[in-house]
Amino acid sequence: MTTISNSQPIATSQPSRHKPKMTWRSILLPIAVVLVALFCLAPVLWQLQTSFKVNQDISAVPTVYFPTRYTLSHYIELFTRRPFWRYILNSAFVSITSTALSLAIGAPAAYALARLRPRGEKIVMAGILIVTLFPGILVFLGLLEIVQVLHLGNNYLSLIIPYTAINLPLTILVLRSFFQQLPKDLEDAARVDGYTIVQMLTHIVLPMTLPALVTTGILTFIFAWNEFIFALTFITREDLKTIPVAAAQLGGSSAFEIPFGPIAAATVLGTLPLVLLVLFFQRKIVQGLTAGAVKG
Amino acid sequence: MARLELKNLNKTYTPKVIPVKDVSITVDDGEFLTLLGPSGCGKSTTLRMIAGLEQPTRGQILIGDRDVTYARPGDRNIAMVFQSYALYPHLTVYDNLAAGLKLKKTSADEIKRRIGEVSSFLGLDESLMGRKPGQLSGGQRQRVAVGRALVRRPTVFLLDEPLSNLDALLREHVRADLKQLFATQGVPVVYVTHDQTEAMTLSTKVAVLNNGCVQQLDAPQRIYSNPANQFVASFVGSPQMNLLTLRCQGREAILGDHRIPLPQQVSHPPQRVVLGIRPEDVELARSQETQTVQGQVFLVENLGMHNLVSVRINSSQGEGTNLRVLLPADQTWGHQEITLALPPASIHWFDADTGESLLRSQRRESLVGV
Repeated sequence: MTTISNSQPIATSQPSRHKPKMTWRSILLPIAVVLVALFCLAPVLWQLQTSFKVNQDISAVPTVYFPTRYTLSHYIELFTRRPFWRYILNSAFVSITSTALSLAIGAPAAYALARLRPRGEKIVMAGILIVTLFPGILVFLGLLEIVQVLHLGNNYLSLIIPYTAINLPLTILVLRSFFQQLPKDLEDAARVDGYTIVQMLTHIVLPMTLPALVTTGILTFIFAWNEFIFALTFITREDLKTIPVAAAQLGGSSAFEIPFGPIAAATVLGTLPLVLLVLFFQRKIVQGLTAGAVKG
Repeated sequence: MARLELKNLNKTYTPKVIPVKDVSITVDDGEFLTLLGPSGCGKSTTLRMIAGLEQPTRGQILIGDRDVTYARPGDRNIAMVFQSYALYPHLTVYDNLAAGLKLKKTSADEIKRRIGEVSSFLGLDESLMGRKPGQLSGGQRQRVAVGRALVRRPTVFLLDEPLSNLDALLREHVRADLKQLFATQGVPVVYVTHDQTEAMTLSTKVAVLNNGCVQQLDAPQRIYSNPANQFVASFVGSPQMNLLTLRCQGREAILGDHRIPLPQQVSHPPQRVVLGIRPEDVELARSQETQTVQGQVFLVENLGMHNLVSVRINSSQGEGTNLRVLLPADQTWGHQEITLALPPASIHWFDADTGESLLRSQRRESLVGV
């Protein structure tokens, strides 16, 4: 009783402080957030759910939205009926190699463009920009000819080289603008301290560039991991196929059956490394690593 | 140990952009040279050439008789403190200090000993050693930057406006600290600044630069009391020196209705002269003084210690002249007539066309090492 009688006058005298105000903003904002999240995640969640559904539920009419039975059989099937490990390794090898290559080639190019201000820098930059505007499919037929002439079909190189080339412009553009932001004084200080150019690049510039390298590296890796058309055309041998191709070519026991379950499972398995990669490196991409170098 | 010598140093980017035009300066052991000048006068470029960060177009740089004009910055045994401090952000304070020594393959014990010495000297706490530069205050960063130069025990110290990022109070402290610190080092120090107070207080020698040329190279006191030309006179000193362009008649300059005789040493007075007198040198006229001018007070600025009084000296010909005067703050001034004395000894005379000092022009070559 006492508490009620005490709280009542306060509540009436200062209603605005004790009751949170119900504004349109406070109602609509969470709803909008949920809707947008659902809209973006729905296909992924549907795939995830499908990969765990039993076959009857997958093909059931009306659609089963909230299944009661779950199974791991689709995943097991992937590894028993197919060399799925092999696909994952292929994808990983091609993606990692092309990412490393495009960083190794792109970073020095970006540094040179940012710092040395070479002659014709604007033309080079314009060229790089124009290359990014080409749709990949446009160069596809030409590439096919080249692959045939060089006998690179069914070779990892037929994927690694195009992936690297396609990613280079992006790498150079992103890293160049990052290098331009790095204070020049730091490099001068390193030179006065007695670092040689190579030591300066590896000891001083590279550690500060890590966040940018990781960011561009992730973008490059995701592209290479997901690429489909080149991988489908240039590689026909089973033991060299990458995940996107393998997932698309999963067949059922008969020509009329579409194995939705295993396809969903393959999709989930193919996406999982990317999700883990981004989650892991998100913490590494520490912005403001350069804070404190100069007066902040 | 070593002396730093610049011989006809020149940096030319394009025929029209020449930031440094034939600068020749010598800095001996224990001397503190300040390159003073407005922004864009070539002082930073000169310093960067000494450091080896820029290649000179012509000329020579000698450190202790060794020609280092084209040596790599790391091979010159110099240390530089940057305006932005340029501490390596990914390294701890200790590693920042040790970086240069490690490259020279100094033993770990020696590095530790030297860092200990320097950090106690600079008042850098042991607890700061493990921190990154981002976790330090501005003053601490500044000291680390100075410390990084000190541990190297270089033959020449170069400092590029190291105080400009500190707030006014701290700057005064650090200025005094730096003066004591570099006095103990006994090697040439080259300091770049646009702040004349720093130049006057710190240096044993000041080179005033403008448009890539040394205007005057002298002891700070002489820069102040005997400016070689109109630019030095107007750039050094606050409040700024009064510079009045006057007509000459015979051996007298005409200021309003007054005639001011030129000094005896001036052999051939030009048509027009510039009379320079510092606001603090102008006095209120006492009865016995002969060289006086009358004017009307039109503006009073209180500077605390003094009043900066602007006086308009009218002339019968119509055009008047303004004179700024530092007067004691204990008197208040309205818009009143005032009689001022211009002590002849405090007046600087310049040629209005060339800007050169009339008194110094005869012996200029011997004083300015250009």
